[in-house]
Amino acid sequence: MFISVIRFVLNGWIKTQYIDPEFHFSYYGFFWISNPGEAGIYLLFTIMALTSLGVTLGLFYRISAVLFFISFTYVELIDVTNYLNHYYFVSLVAFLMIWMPAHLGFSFDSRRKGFSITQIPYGYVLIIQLLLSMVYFYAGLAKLNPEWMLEALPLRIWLPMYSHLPLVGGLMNELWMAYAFSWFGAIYDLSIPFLLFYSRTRPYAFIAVVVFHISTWLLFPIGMFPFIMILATTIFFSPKSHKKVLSHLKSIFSQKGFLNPISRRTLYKTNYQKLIWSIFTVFLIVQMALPLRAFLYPGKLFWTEQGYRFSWRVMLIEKAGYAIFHIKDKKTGREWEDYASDHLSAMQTKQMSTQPDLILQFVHYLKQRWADQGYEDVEIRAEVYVSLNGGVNRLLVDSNIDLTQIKDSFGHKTWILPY
Amino acid sequence: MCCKHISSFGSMLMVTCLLGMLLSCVDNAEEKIEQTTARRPVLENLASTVIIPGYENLHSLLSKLDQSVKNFTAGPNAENLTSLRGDFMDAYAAWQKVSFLEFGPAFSQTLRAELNTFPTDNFSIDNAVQSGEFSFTGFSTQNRRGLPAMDYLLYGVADSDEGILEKYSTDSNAENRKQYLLTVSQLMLTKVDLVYNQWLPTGGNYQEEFIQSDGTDVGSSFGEMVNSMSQYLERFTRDARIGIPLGKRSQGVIIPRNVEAYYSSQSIPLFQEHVSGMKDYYHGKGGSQDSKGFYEFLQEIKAGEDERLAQRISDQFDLILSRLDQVPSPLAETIRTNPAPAEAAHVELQKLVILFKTEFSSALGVLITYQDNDGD
Repeated sequence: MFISVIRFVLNGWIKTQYIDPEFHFSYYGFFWISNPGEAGIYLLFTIMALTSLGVTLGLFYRISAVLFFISFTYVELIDVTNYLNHYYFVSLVAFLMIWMPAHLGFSFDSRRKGFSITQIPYGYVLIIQLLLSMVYFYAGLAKLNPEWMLEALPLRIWLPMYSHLPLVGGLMNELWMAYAFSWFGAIYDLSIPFLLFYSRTRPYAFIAVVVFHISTWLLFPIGMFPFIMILATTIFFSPKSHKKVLSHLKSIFSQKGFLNPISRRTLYKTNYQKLIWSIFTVFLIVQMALPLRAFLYPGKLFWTEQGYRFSWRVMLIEKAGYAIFHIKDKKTGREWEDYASDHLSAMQTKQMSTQPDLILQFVHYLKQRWADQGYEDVEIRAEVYVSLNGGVNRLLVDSNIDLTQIKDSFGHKTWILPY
Repeated sequence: MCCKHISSFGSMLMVTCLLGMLLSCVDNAEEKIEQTTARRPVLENLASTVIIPGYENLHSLLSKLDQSVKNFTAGPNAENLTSLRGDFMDAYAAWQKVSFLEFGPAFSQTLRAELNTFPTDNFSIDNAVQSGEFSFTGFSTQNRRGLPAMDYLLYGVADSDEGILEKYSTDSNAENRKQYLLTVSQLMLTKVDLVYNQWLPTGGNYQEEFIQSDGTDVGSSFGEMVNSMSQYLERFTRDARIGIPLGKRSQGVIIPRNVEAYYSSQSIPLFQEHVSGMKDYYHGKGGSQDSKGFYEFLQEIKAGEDERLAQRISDQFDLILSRLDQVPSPLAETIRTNPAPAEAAHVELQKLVILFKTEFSSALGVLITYQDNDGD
């Protein structure tokens, strides 16, 4: 996590994502989250970096975990267009970490307090295992759609981009490769949770995990996610195997006289055990239910993206859009145009141009902007063309509707045109 | 038991798959190195038949123009003015065919802003001529030089040709004006010379770098070409040349004086040169030679749901050209009195932008930023 934060800073993404844009897209229900400004953002990132170190080293663990969760989640909530499934995953794990006694073995806290815990109730491990299983399983489930399985979309569009790679390059132009990747991906996602739970298949499954994530890391610009997942899946291994690795680490440290915790065979106990189990149960139920909400909306999910986020739907669609905003001053009847690229970053523009809820948010922002310039009563229509999985571009939303009259909600957006 | 069978079968399957993939990679390793990608021939052809000849042509026409400017300032008569104007229009037309190449040397030299920032600031030009103090450094002076400044100096300083000739002969500021004209011409030539030489193998050899980076990431040649072209198409082809004069970006209030080449009234012919230049670039066509371009590349990868994306884009270029044919010159006057044909051309331009921003970008798979994404 510490590496993630540093990478983010080094890439200059703080500036391009949080300081440069004049407008940020909020999550529904989180409109109160605001950009704390340049100093605030850097402060949040500093907290994130320090607390991630704190969590890793087990130094002031509980407070670090809480602060890390808050700062990380806050930053993610500032702008929807930065939404990535793996940031969401990190947030969820960070939340769970708050309740964990993960600091009481092989850590600075255990040294400070002079005792160490060697055993924790299985529930703490199980919840992470179940969360990981759900991530994979839902990701696999989402792949079971006609485009992915029968047409190898969007991989057949993406893979040829890598035809310049050495060794595997030539394969990328082959259609069967796209199918192989698609099917392998689906089978992998759906089966890996079970294979990881079952001790006899676990080592093979872990090899599969490593190979799968490394290859996705090589092919797609998905950042740290593969490494997070690879490390996370090690939680499926038995305590014995972990201890073996740890003892190697420990021997390195103790040689340097760095760490030598007093070992006692103790089971972790807390007075709030019941409360923690209930929190975990609610957490699991919510996590199980969230990805399913998409089925409550009519229409093609990949087109409308209603209930798309927070559902582990990764790498599923190739979408490219272009939005023209027609502004009409009702007083004078004059009409003109506005474009996202004048107000948003390239990334924001790309995301907004394909997602109806963001289009609506942006229209309301534009309305406000024009009102500030003295055009109090404008009508805004959005002419948005989208190509889904390389298909012929077509209108995403009804271009005859004045979107300033529409309020966002969890209800079905009737102004999205059917695919 | 059943479960066990399934899962061990699953893991076997997976291990087999993995081994298979690895093996197949190894098998094909040697073959792969010899295989050139489909993108590289496109890059080679674009560099050698479109881009470099395009700059070469612009370079030689600007040299010719510079000579004409010298002739005219030495002998400001009607004959020299006519031939100067002819050379000016030739150079302006040649510029149109490379204007959209906003990457590599042209980008680092800010060639577009240097050569074609319009509307030109005629008041500042007049002031400079009057005072004799020319300042040509910095971004803020870009609208006092380049082709639009020359457009004003050759067509706009007086209402009639006689009047214009007077400005360069009997007028009290005639010497300053001549000097201004000479400097503007010199600056353009110097800039284009720089860019042209950076492309040449005997100069900066950007050509080599251009052909080598045949991936699709942000810094790759495809990435740069597609991103710069679609951005140019939005900002300068659609907005600057027609949208802004039509009032699309000014709350519906038209600004006819903001058209390109306002003083010479050559907006439409230059616009057509520009669009056909872009179309040639798309087709990989230079002069009589028509080789691999984006068109051929898209056909090769059967781009588009209907596998006809290559043709649809080409057709859209033609549609724009035929719409422009129907716009009466001068464009500024058309916008004032009868904007419908100009609006119609704007609509077709908009459709080209949409094709570029949606299907074209998707098909070529170029990235727009370096940021991570997980494909949703």
